[in-house]
Amino acid sequence: MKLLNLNFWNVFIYLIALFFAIPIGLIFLSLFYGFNENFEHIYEVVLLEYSINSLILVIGVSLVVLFIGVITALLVTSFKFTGSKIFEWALILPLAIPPYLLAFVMTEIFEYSGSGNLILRSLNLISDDSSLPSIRSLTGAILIFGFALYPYVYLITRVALMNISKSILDSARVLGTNKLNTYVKIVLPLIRPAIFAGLALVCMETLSDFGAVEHFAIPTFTTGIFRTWLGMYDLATAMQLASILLFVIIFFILLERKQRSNVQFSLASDTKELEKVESLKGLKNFSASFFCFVPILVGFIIPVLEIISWSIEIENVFSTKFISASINTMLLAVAAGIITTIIGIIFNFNIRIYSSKNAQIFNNFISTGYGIPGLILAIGITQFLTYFDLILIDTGIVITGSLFGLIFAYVIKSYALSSNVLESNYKQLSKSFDDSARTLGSSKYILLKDIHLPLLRTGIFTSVLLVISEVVKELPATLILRPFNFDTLAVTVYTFASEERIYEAAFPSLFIIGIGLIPIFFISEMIKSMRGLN
Amino acid sequence: MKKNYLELTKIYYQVNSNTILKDINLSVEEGEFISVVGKSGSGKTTLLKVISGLTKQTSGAIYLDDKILADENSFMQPEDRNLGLVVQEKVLFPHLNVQSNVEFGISSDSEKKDKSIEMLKKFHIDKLKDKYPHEISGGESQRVALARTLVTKPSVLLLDEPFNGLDQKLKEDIYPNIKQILKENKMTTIMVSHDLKEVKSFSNKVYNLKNAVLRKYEP
Repeated sequence: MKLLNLNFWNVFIYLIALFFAIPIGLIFLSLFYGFNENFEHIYEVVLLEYSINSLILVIGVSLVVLFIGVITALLVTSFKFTGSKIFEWALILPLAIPPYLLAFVMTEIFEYSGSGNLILRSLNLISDDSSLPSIRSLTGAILIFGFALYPYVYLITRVALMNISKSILDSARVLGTNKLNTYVKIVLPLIRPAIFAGLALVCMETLSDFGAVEHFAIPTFTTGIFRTWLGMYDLATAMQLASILLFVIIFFILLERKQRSNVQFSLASDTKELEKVESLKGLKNFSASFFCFVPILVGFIIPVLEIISWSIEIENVFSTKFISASINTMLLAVAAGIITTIIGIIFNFNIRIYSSKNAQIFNNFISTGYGIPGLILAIGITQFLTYFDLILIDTGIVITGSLFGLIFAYVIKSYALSSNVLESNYKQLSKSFDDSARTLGSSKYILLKDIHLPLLRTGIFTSVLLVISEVVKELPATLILRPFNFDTLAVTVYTFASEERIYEAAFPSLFIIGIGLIPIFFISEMIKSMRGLN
Repeated sequence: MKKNYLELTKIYYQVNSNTILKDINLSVEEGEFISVVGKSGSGKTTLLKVISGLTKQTSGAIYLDDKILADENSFMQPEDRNLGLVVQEKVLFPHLNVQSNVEFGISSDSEKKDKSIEMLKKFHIDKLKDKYPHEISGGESQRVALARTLVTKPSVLLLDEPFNGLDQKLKEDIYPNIKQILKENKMTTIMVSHDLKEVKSFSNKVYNLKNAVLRKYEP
């Protein structure tokens, strides 16, 4: 059997897959270097603490996101109550605020002189010398991650609920099952894979975070890796720690993939939204609205209002730092958006034209990049580029510390977003177009240039926008891989928060949130079209 | 005696253990119009895709005018075979107007306009040249698709139920026009269809594809 077909399109995907794999491969390779005294010290003194804190964080956040995500999804899908139509899309809004930014804002609100305490004092709810408990704790971090990340579970559960055929529920009712039992015995088992898929994403995000846990001074794997590398200057040990975390992350990636495939399996082909059987009234109506409003209030409205209040305090709105960080961010984000989309187009074109299993396998493999923590990617890429620099030593070219590494990290992190969009756009294009063009004498290049690209333009535009929104928020990889004195908006916000000059972070933060709203628009449009509202 | 222009010998096509085409042998003379009938799912479309190169046969050989299109050792890509394919689905490129659709397959830039207008006139659809596919009817779309294919002067025209979905009145209106154009161009044509009445009005020979085997149709 012919395993490798070496034409331009295939060689391209093999090379890209290899490039994506090298940084991760180097991380795992570090386990074979042998362990030095720093690793032994970390193993004996802090590794248990890192593990326990990370575990508590993951379990706590999972419970919070399950509680908020599943109940809100069930409420807005199954009942009609005051504001339910608005909550359907507003419950996704917290996705626009990355956890580290929510952590910075909430820290400020819970400070002794923060707006939370000021409001409570003005309402005489607390005395002048008392204050709210500090949010900078493990419990605080669990709540921050919970309110920032519950939309993952909400979204995927909601979509699963919308896909449950009403006839299944009718059958259960006719067979004598009451409404509550129908939910417990039919609906919950059907949406369980979706819930676990969403939960796996949340766990990955929680374990990958650096900004929030570092701000809260919670020793976790990511802060430990960061300190080992940039505090102890021991890249080898940092990579070994990263390998351990990566094993856990890969478990969650596989879990998420498996559960996603089960989601498709468990849902009926007759896709109709669960009928809104009951309009809630009185206390039930109020409770449902209140329950859906609180996560939006905490996860989006309060932080945005708080940041707006900071911006009023700022005199020099368009500081040089803000302008240069905005330009840097947009240049990087647009470059990463274009490069990622080009790679996505070539992969998906190859899969379509050659029905290539290899291309599909490689595409699935490089799509897992979204789950790799930015910090680990940064370590792997740094190591990779160092080898490159050694090869290029005679040419005087130095790649480490250049924008190349940064864009490389962004492309790996955001490839799945781009590929998913392009794949679904390609599915809408009839293959008869390809057959016609090819029998009319078009080469594959002409087919791509003159037929696919014009017909995919909406998907291409969406892909670039989604990558931009992802890149603008990215912190840990940017922090490590950026060239000297090169700040992005996320780094600017992080720096201001670290230097306790948080008010100056107002406009960069608003910019990040504004860009973060882009995917929310697309997601809400997708849900709308699923409901046939378009 | 006329020599065989297109020749298929011992063509097999299998997907996993499922045989779609079995020992297909077919000879078509130049300028001949042959049809293949068969039930839906009998492999008629696969047969055209194998001839056009869009699907690679499992074994067997295809020759066109004594040149090898595909055999055990070589495979000519569909864009290099100069075979025209018109299928039943809407295949006009939606982002191009009628004239640009017809111009798509013409390689010479200087001839694009004249050739496309001439072909559109033959099909009596030159008034539609500036319209986009979504602005024209199903019958008009199929005529544009035929014009787009014929303008490239294919060696063989492959028609995959091209009139499926058109109402009987419309079919009766466009059949004479299409027949005349194919005759004028001495076009070697293979059409697949499930409509025996339709194929009889066009064809010199009719074949039946049943249980993956191709046999001459015997009423």
